[in-house]
Amino acid sequence: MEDELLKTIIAQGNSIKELLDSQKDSSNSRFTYFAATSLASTALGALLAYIVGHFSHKRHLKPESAKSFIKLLSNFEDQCLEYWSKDHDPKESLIEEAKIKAGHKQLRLYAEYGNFGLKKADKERLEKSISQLFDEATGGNFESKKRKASRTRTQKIAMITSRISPLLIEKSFE
Amino acid sequence: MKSINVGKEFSDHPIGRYREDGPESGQVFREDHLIPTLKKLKANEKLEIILDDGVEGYGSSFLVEAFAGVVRVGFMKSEDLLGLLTFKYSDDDFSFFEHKIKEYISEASYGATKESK
Repeated sequence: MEDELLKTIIAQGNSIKELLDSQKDSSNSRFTYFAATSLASTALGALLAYIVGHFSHKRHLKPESAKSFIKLLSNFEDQCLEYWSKDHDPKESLIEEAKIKAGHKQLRLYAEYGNFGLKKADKERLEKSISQLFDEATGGNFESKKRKASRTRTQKIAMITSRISPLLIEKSFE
Repeated sequence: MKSINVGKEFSDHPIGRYREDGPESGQVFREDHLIPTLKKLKANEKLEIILDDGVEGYGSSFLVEAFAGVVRVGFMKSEDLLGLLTFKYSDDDFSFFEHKIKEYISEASYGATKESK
């Protein structure tokens, strides 16, 4: 009798042990599952944050580039109009000519490498206009002692810059 | 192949259009450097123009007078001159000036300006 009771107690003890062991395994599984889902959620959140940040930055880059270009273009136009609205001056012309050549270099480099989000046809129109601007701004008697003020040239420069601006103004508000 | 290094053999600051604008003008480059070198070329020999060695940039007035001027004064026709010239530069931005020189030569009218050759 005592032996049977003892066997029963041992058997129950084993059952409890098995139950506890199974609960321990289940707990580990749940912990692992919880940890894995947490890590996955965190990684997914970080990835989403990166993607949103990346595209948000890119979206802001285009308007900022377009605004900077328009500002450069406006400064360049002012310099050219100032230069071509008066005759050659031995003192002032040299400085103005250096500014115009440097200003055009900035424009053509920015036009080539700037990220404005322009369509291919618009980018080609931009580059063509920048090239025409070079002809007008530094052509004729540019850097010559014979240079006279040129109404025609100031008007052409103003017209070319007015063709360039609309290509970029739309982009500056996106 | 012959070559002219603008920055080293002519001026690191090419500026101006006419001879009276100074010794670094387009007319001086054309008359004292470019045309004399073109005259020395042998059959099928090319002339290489090194554009950017020490030079920061060019104005259209210099380029037109120096290169298109060769055609305008009637020394050589556009297609012949374009066939003889090659351009060299290490700064990619100078491809812009190569393109402009070729454009100005192409658009120049042969013999339009009566000058001494």
